[in-house]
Amino acid sequence: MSNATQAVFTAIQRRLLNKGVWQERIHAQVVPPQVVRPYAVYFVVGGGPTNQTRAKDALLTVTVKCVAEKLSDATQGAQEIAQLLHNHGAQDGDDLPTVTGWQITTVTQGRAVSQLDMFSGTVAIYHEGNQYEFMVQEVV
Amino acid sequence: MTKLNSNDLYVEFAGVNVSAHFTAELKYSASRALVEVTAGAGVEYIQRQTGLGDTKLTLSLAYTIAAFETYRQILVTGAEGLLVYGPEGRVAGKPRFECVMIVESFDMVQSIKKEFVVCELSLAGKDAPVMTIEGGGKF
Repeated sequence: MSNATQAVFTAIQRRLLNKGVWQERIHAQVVPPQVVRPYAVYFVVGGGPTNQTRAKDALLTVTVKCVAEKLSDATQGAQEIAQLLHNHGAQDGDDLPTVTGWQITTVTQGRAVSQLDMFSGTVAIYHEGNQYEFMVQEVV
Repeated sequence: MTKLNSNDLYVEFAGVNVSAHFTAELKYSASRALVEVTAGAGVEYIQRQTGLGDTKLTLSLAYTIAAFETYRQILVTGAEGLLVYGPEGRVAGKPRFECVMIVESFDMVQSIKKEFVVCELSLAGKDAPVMTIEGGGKF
């Protein structure tokens, strides 16, 4: 059985693949070299078991952002990510793609992520997205 | 010697084992009323004697979607049943509290912040407990 992080990554990958301005360019943790922008990338920034019940669960904060060479593409990508993830847990009235052994009960959009990279000191690269809180519970 | 910090308790009410749904806190409270019996001239301190005892217990249960139907009946105010509580589980020889109790109140809170929904159950003893933890009750 996968762990909670794998379950969230699998769900994000399935939900975001071939969508938005990034299309098939959706990557977990690390973006391979030579990937064409715009692309989307996601990674865990914190979290773990809630320890509020005796069942297995996790509340994971995951940054999901769109990286583009135009600010308009990056912000459009961030909006599309929000539309695909925010309030799409099983208990939010929608559901992310299922992952064996785990259920993502809620997905909540959190603080904004906004960053400007100056590539080679001349080319502007825009990062726009949010941190999302994924509540994951083991299905037994 | 280790001190108890486990949440691996056993709790059952009216024949329904709700240990798996336990969350937040269980509070067991035994009390004894004190009756003032001060009398006589020149007395400088209050004199007391023990009065009637009382037993109360509050319990938080997670709203477990797939199982709610199996324990919702014990949340009904006025419901009576035997409450069995073991702070170290129900292994033979471990401490046990047992008392017929009445549901005094039931509260449920749902939050916009998507926190776990908790059913707060407040129970009061119907009569003297069958056995108490501090009185040496055992499984």
